[in-house]
Amino acid sequence: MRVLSRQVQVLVFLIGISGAVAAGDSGEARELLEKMTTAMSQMSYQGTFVYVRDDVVETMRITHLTDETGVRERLYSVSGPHREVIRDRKGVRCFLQDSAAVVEDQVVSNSYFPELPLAIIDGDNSGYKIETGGEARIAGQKARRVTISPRDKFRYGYDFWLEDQTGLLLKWVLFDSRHNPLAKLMFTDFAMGSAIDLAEIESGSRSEDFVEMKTFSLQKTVVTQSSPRWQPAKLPPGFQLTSHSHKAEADSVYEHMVYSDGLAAVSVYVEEQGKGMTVKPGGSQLGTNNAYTHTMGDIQITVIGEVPAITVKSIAKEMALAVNSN
Amino acid sequence: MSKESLEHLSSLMDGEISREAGLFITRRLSADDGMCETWERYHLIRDCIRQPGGKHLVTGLAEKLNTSLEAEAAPVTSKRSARAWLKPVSGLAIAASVALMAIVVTAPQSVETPGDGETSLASPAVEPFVSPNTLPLAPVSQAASYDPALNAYLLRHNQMARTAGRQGFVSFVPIVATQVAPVVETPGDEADPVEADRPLQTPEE
Repeated sequence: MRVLSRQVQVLVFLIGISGAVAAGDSGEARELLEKMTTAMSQMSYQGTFVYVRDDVVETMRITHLTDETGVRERLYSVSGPHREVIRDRKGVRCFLQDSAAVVEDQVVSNSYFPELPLAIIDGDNSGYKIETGGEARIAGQKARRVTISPRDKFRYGYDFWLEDQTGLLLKWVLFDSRHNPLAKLMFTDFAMGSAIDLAEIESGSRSEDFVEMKTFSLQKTVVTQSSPRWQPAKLPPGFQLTSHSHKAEADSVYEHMVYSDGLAAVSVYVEEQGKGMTVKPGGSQLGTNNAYTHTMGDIQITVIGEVPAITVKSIAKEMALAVNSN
Repeated sequence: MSKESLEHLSSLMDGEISREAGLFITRRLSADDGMCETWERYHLIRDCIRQPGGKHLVTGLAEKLNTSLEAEAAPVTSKRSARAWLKPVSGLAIAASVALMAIVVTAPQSVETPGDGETSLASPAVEPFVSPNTLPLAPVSQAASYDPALNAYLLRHNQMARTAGRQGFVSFVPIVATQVAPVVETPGDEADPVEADRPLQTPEE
C-alpha cells in the first residue's frame, strides 16, 4: 500500500512536471511570437528569399525600412516577369508586368476592435497547439523554431524560424492539418539595421506604371464599431469579428468584415452585384489564399483568406442579413 | 558577386533565360568558384525546403565542370572531326551545360568524356538551351486568368487583417508569386470528417 502510494505520488509529480514544461513551452512560444510581431513591423531588414509552393520555386527580394518617415517596404520578384508590391504611408501599390494590371489600395484606418491577444491561440478552446523546438542556421543567422499546429481542418499551421536575437522571420512554412507543407519561404541572404542597402527601396518601375483602379468598390469606406448588417449564422470554432467597415453612403450596400482566430484571418465582402467588382461565383485560389464567392439575389458575398477552401466556403454559405438590421 | 549575376543565376535555375545567356552563365560557372558555390547553395536550399533531409546534395561542381571542359577540349577523333573543328567554341560550353545538367538533375556520378565527341558537340548545338533545373521551362508566373478583383480584395484583406500568422510582407508574397487559378474542389469538402468533431459555432455577441 505504501509502495502504491509512492508510485501514485511519483506519477502525480511527473504529471505536474510535464504540465509545467508544456505551459513553459507555450509561454516561451508566445513570447517569441510577440517578439516577431514587433520586430517585423519596427525593424529595418533586407534580404533575398526563396518561395516554394507546389512545384514552383521563386526568388524574391524584400527591403523593409522603418525610420522617422514611417514604414516603407518593397517586395519584388528577382526572376520571371517583373512583379512588385510597394507599401508606404500612401498605401499599397502593385505592379504586375505580365498581366499588365495594377492594383492600388488606399491607406486603411486601424480597426476599432482590439487586437486579439496571442494568448487566444493557446487556450483550451483554441484551434491551435503551439510549441517551440529546434535551432538552425539560416542565411548566416542563428534561428529558433516556433510551431503552431491546427487542431482541425478549418485553419492552417505554421512553422516560424526566428532570428535568435531580434525575432525577425527567417523561414516560414505553411502546412495543413495533416502537416503536409503547402508553402515555404526561406531567406538565402539577410541583413538588418545599418547593413541594408537603402537605395533598393526605390522602385525600378516608373511611377506612371502604377495606375489606380478607381472602379474598386472598396474606396470611400469607413471603419466602424457597429455590428455588421450581414453576419454569419455560424463560424468555425475560435473565429470572431475583429474589424468592420462599410461604405460611407447610407444607401449603398457594402460591408467588409474580418473574422480571426488570433492567427488566421478571413475577410467577408458583402456588396451589391454590378456596383463593385464582379467575381465569378464559386471557389478560386490565389497562392495559399482561398476565396469563395456566393450570390444571394442582388448581393454578392466574397470570402477570402489564408485558410482552407472549406473555411471560406462554410462562412460564405452561412452569411445572412441580421434579423435586427434595418 | 554582383546582384545582376545573382539574378542571372536565379533565372537559370528557373529556366527563364535565353540560350545565349545560359551559355554565358555556364562558362562563368566553370571559371568562377564563388558563383559555383552560390549555384550549389541555391540547389541545396531548394532541395532542402522541398524535401528536408533529401539526398540531393551537389558538391564539387566547379571541379566537375572543369574536368568536363578539359575533357571536351581534348582532340576529337571521329570521322567527322573536320566538321567538328568548324563548330563554334560555344559548343564546349554547351557540353559543359549538359554535364552540369547531368550533375545536378541526375544522381551525381563521375563525369566522363562522351565516347563520341560528335554527338556531344553536334546534338546540343541544334537544340534549344536546356536549363539544368528540374522545373518546367515555362515562366514561373503563368500569365493567365488574372482576376484583378480578387487581388484587390486580397490587398484590402492584408491591410485589415493583421494577425500573428500574417507577418508583414509574407501576406503579399502570393500576389507577387502567382496568378489566380480555379480551385478544384475535392469531394471531401462537403462532408469534412472534422466538422463532426468541431462543428461551426454560433458567433459570440
